[in-house]
Amino acid sequence: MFKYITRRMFWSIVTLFTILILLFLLLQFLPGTPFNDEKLSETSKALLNAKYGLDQPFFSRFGIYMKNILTEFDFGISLSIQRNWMVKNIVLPRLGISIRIGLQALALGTSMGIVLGVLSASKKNTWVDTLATLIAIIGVSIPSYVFALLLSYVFGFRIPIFSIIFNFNDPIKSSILPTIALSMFVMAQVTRFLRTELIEVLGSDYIRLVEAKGVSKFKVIYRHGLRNALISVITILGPLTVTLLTGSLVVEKVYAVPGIGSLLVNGILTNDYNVIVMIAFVYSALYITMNLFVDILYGIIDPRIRVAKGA
Amino acid sequence: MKKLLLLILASLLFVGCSATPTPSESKKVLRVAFGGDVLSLDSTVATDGVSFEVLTAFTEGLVEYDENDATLPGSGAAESWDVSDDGLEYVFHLKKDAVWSNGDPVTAKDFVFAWRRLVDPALANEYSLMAQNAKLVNADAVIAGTLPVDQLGVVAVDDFTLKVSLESPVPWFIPLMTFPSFFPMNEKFVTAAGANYATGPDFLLSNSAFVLTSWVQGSQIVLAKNDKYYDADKVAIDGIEISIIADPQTVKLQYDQGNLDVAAMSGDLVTSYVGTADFVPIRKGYTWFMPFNQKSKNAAVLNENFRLALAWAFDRDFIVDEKLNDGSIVADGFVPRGLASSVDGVDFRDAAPKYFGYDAKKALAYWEAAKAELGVTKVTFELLVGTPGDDSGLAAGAPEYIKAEVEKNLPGVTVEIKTVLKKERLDLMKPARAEYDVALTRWGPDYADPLTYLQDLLVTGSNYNYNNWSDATYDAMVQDVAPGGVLSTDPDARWAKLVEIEAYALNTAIVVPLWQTGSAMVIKPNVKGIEYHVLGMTNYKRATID
Repeated sequence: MFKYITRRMFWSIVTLFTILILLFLLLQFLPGTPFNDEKLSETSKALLNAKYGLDQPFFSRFGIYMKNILTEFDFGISLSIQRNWMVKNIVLPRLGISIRIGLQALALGTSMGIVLGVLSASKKNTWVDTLATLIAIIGVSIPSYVFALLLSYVFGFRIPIFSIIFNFNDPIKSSILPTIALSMFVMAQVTRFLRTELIEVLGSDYIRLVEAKGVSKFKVIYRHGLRNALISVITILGPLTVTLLTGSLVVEKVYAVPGIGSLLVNGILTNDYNVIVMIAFVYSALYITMNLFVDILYGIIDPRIRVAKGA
Repeated sequence: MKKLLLLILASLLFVGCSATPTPSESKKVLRVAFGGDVLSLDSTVATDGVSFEVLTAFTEGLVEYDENDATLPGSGAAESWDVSDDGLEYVFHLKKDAVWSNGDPVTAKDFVFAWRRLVDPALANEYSLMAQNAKLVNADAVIAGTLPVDQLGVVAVDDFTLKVSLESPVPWFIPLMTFPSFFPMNEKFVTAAGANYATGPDFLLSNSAFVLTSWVQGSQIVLAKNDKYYDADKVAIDGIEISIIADPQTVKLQYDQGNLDVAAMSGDLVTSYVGTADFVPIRKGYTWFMPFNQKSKNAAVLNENFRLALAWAFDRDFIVDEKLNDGSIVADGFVPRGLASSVDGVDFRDAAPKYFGYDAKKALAYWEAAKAELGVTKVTFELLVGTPGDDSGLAAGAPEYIKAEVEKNLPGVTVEIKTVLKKERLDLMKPARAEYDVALTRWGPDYADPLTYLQDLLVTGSNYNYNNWSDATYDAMVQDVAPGGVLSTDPDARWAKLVEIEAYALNTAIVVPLWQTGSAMVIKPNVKGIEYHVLGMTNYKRATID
């Protein structure tokens, strides 16, 4: 197991740096410059490019950048979003908010998804199943922008129990609507996967044996059925984190959450290369970590996977 | 399982009801929504409107606009000033009772320090160009690094006397001093803060009506009344709370729920407020116009009759009323309304004629003439536009409307709309590339004089001559009214000449002015006294909340 994890971590790091190189290369093709003011003279542009090192050749810039990241965890200074600020001082405070809302959404979405999935599988072909499936379909098909606006209109404006925008002084309560909005897609996916898997598991021979032994239906589902069915849910948790990251771009805008989603969009629009690189780095790192985590979780849930890979 | 579900729902409701915020009714705090975040609160680094608005709320420059757009002695940090007869030297006498929020007096040295910082080549500040616009002695050389910063034409004669020297007379120098790039900075404080300067309330000083108390990036900026401000007894509100909300729908919900006092509205959302006491249209100085690239390979764009045909072929009123509906007005000329007035106080637009309109017959006649001259029956040209939303102020649907009307009224003309990001549009348009036929673009004034349009956009060799137009007669006329020109010290003759210059350019339709931007604000009826300016920043000093 240890050897397996070490090997996986090594490849994760290699992947991460490959992404950085590709990203650095792609940014060369981003139209415009951070100094987009049409009223800027050529002398001033040259001065600015020199000051921020943009006049250097590609490889030397990449080298300096890598060295600073590796030795000092320094992602450089912002070129336009908050000019002259250390990028990490801009990104890190916002990252906390985005990750928190993301994790809340993941936890809420997964647990609601499990509840709905179990309900619909155990009451297959009843009105409970239809309702749960309907919720899941709605969750997958409604764009998060529409759902987020609808939530803030209903529970922020018509029935004002929650605040319409994220409020720093009340981060728990004001993050509830964004969390729900973001969790919809997760919930829907988990419900759909779990339902299919659980129905299959519940129809298998060993479950029928357990049932024949007279074990209660509750125990059959939780002790014997769910544990097997959950593996399929864990498989999709990795890809789901990505949808959470992209979904947060929209949800953060609607609820005015000062997270990194909006920062990334601004970074791209204003050519703030250093901000783009750091956020992309963080996104990639999160995704890779999540996948690693999922792989380890397999082992814990299903001993067969652990044994096979450990060998 | 049902129990668990109920438990989750119940806990959600519980959290929902537990911490209800109690709005403080006793404090008169103005709650304002901004669409974007501040980019820098260092006045020498800032280049964007949002940063300038916030900077202006807590910093006082030499002069300020009053409610009538006038810049009078005593309106800012300068009590009075003297101007030399040749217009090359300004001596400002500063108020002696003005202090920074740390108690230090505001002195002439604070201005010298800030201005030198603005042009310091080591700092490479974008808006050092403002020092060039102001024609400060040696500004060009200092920025280029050929002279040290202390050679810039600004000196502190004593603590309360600031002497500014110009290379040529600048008729709009005093209004220019309202611009945030010319704000003072306390040297001792800035030096002590080092790299942290302007990163938060602890690293900023105020010398104006409000002081920054909190800044959560991307979320909220809070300003409180500055008790150390010399005119503090005239400030009627306790503070300003700025929420940064990018989504217009969310802004509307927040405003309607009573969580905001002031917000800008756009597009369809404006409609529900028109006719209510909350609706306040604000005029801005941006002119949207159509430039015609004279380096284009498309011969039609070089033809005067073709340009005139386009100018008369669509209804600008329709764009303003139906597509914008936010307080924007039709641009009757290139120089916007409210930018500059004659010595008698007559607005430039009232002194000059109205140009162009919607007249399908006239347009067709010009088109027939153009066809004969060009020897063609069909013309296809590219209309370069930015992406609505990204290209702020561009009326969504305006390009499509222009295309439809032009193709209907000028049979044989095909308009190909090319949509790109704003930064890309500007890149394609810049004289060094000039890869376009016709575009929709805007220009904001840099100073209170028609030349900010007539010279900077149309004179041969200007960096912003997007038309790549070159006309010796026009250049010579502009030369006469420019700083140092033969008419630069005769305001009346200069004014008449400026009207003539605009006429010369527009009669050839080298640019077709479209609309002058406005902004539809919604303001709660109990809030009064916020001053919006065409050129200057919003002034909250005299705001009241009943």
